[in-house]
Amino acid sequence: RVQFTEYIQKNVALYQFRNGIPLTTAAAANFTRGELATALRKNPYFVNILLAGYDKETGPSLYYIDYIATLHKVDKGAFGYGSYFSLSMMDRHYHSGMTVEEAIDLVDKCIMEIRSRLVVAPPNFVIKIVDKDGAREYAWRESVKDAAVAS
Amino acid sequence: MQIFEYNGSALVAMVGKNCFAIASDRRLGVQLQTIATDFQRISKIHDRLFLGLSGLATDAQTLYQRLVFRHKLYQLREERDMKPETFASLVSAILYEKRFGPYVCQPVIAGLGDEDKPFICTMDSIGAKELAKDFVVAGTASESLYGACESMFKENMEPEELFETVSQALLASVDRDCLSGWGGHVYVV
Repeated sequence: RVQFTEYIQKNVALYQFRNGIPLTTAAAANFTRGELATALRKNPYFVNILLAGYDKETGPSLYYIDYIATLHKVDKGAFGYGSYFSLSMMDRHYHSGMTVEEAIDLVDKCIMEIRSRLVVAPPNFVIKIVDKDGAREYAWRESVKDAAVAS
Repeated sequence: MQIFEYNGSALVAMVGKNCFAIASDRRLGVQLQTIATDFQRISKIHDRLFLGLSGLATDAQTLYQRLVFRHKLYQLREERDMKPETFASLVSAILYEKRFGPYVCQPVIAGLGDEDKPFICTMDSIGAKELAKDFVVAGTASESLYGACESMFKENMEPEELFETVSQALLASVDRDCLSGWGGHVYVV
């Protein structure tokens, strides 16, 4: 998993150096999909990806890429066992044009659901935000403070 | 886990009087879970040729990109658009290239040939063409689509009536299939 994301990261940076302009989110998403698709029939990567980016012209966008390289632009997405709960919470509460506070609120609701409903719930969560000022770590939601677990 | 039923899809194309209609459902799922309800399965190759791809979404996307590439090359070399029959043969050849590791897709091709004569065809995942004069279907809901189209189809329908017929056939069939649905996209040319 780490291998693949680093590979993509470095290639995106390379494009930026070669061509002088940074890759748009859509282009990065399609590039990632292409890499996954090419590897699919030889040595598939088992990575599911939610790719979020902010472009000056088109604003924020979210792309869902699953491990068999299905690409789709979505407004809300989730992966894994927790996705069953999160997607339903988001279907209920999401509307377009939400503010950051409302979005964090929704994310917290999803985290609460996962914590209460999932037997194998992970104890700690990190929330990251991507906007015009770039990507940054926003907050941690920890219930187990000694995070000596290898991530 | 059936590979053809991984993402779920329903596609139908019908012939009318100097026109055709091609319709698909909008669900993108991962087995039982719905991921999105706005997935586009039908794409325009040129103004008078549409291609719908059912089956595994990743192969549909890869195949679509390859076909658009081939068609653009053709346009540059021949300075004209591809005829639907030619395009169907191209798709069939590309699918058969992967005979022993196939693209898991069933394409539906619909276009207007010379003198506005409508052309529709479908093929299986290794390129066996099935030409039809009235309608073709593909996808997880194909059995119910066969029934619905067979009963609703009439010869020489005008575009408005064709649109109604195709929409009703599609909606009725996807209602009985849990892997496809969430509305439909219909293109009438």
